[in-house]
Amino acid sequence: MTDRPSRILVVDDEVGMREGCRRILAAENYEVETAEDGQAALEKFKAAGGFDVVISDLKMPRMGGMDLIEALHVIDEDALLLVITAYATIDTAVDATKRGAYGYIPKPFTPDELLLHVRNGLEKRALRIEAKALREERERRLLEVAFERSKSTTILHCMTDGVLVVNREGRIVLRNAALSRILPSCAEEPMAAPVVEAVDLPELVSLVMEVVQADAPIIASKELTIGPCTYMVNAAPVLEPSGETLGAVAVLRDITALKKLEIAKSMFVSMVAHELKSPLATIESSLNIVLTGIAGEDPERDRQMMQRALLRATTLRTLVSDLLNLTAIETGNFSLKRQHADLCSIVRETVDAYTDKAAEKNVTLHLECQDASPIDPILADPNAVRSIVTNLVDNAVKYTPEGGQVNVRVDGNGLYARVVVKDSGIGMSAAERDRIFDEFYRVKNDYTAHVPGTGLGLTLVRRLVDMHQGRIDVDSAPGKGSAFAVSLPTVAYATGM
Amino acid sequence: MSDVKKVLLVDDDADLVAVNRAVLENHGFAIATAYSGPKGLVAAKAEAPDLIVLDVMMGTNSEGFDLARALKKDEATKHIPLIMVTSVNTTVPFKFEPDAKYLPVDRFLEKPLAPEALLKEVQGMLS
Repeated sequence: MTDRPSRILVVDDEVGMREGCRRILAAENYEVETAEDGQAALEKFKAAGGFDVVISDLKMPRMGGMDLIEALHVIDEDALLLVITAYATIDTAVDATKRGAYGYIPKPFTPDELLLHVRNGLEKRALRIEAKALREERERRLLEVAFERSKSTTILHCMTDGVLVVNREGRIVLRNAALSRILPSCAEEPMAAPVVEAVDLPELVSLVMEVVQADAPIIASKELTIGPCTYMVNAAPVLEPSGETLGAVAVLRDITALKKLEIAKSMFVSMVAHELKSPLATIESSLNIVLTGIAGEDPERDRQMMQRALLRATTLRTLVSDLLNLTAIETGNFSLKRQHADLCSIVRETVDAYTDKAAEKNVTLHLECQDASPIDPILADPNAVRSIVTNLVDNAVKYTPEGGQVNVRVDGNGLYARVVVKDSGIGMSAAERDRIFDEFYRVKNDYTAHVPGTGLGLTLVRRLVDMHQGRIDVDSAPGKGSAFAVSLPTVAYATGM
Repeated sequence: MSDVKKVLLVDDDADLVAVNRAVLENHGFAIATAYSGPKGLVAAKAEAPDLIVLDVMMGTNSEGFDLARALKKDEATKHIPLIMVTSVNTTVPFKFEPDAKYLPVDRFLEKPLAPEALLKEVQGMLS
């Protein structure tokens, strides 16, 4: 077991005996200690942390050999004790062995006899130690296996996917907690129940049985609807190393959210298609009647019609670019390049660009920017802010009838800088106001029927304002005009200074 | 002048109404227009047209249907033939067909409708 010399304790009240044994054993390179009685031996044994073999006389003062055997086994159950006795009888030998001694030598004995017994004892001890190590190793393995099994079971039950395993006969051999949640009726069935009876879902049963009964290993997949949820079910064979099918394992994954997303996506595509189709149909018809002359020859009317078609085409292009911007924001491909920006100058540029358009419509466009007390700079992407302000001013001019006014004001309170676009236009009801930020929503009435729009402008405005951690407020009433106020954080506020 | 047949065009797309108006006027029809369902009902009573061409998708998705039902219920307008022009069939997953109760129209036509196709329908129904 180790390379160190074996350690032996010789216990005898006769000094000659002790020393004689010591010399014989030391000559064989054993490490030898001696004690004059059982009590002293016990103390030495404790102090030295044990000996490989203890050789002890039976009759000694204070503590004799028989008591020493018992006392030693309390400290170390594997302690080996060899008894030497002057009056060896069968009775004492049997008694000593019963108490745990591994052998005895009658006095007097030859050195060879002593050494033979010691070697036997040491061999026995080595075997005992080895056996103990093996036993411990086995116990450790068993613990590990038990732990591994409980680990796998725990993981299996913590999974969000439902797991169902059936054997070759189609009987349930395993189901996890998620499966019991998905199929509560199955959870009440006993283990080893035939899946055909236990699972009240013919499609799942046939999927699993298809895999179990297949000649060659196959993987079967299917979408199943269970209650309000949709599951993707994948069934695979459970194979032995030899390749033989032992059964099947089905995994049920909840894909309800994905399905909803899919539906939302196709609805969106359908809405986009509709929004593209209507103006295109109108442009097509306009071109058609001018080219075919089906509406007669009237150059002035044709020119007006082409003008309207052009406007609709421009609106379509805006729709497409708004869509691209919205998609970019939603897919995270649109990042703001926030910098110190002057809201006043961005608003002034935009209002200037709309002067002609407003004048054409006989709408007064007025800008109020306090040059005397400059507004704190905002931390914003100038292009995004331009897009926000353009949309608001464009809407105000569009939805204000001839002779009306649009007032644009910029102010601030140190935390936010605010642009307010107020018009004397057609306004809207509370119900309409609640929906104006929805994609493609447009207020529909006799006035708006003549105003082209995409229904995406304010959606985009809201997204851009949100990205800046700003806010947008709407005040409107039918016939009373509308006021849109967008507040964007100042540099000082956004950076916490 | 009583020979001149009057057509009421109801659609929320003013440009489309303008196009259809130009075509129909050029072929001798008198035209009245409305840009919403409720206004369509008012115009139908005030103008007493010989035919109404209406769109389904106006302010709400059912505004055209509602108007058709209201027109067929009203003693003053129930005799006026209706042509419904719409792209609703491409927006919803089921097919619409004229139906006495739910869709009381005389013709149900798919958008986009070429101006000459509409002209032919109108001429056919008013001849």
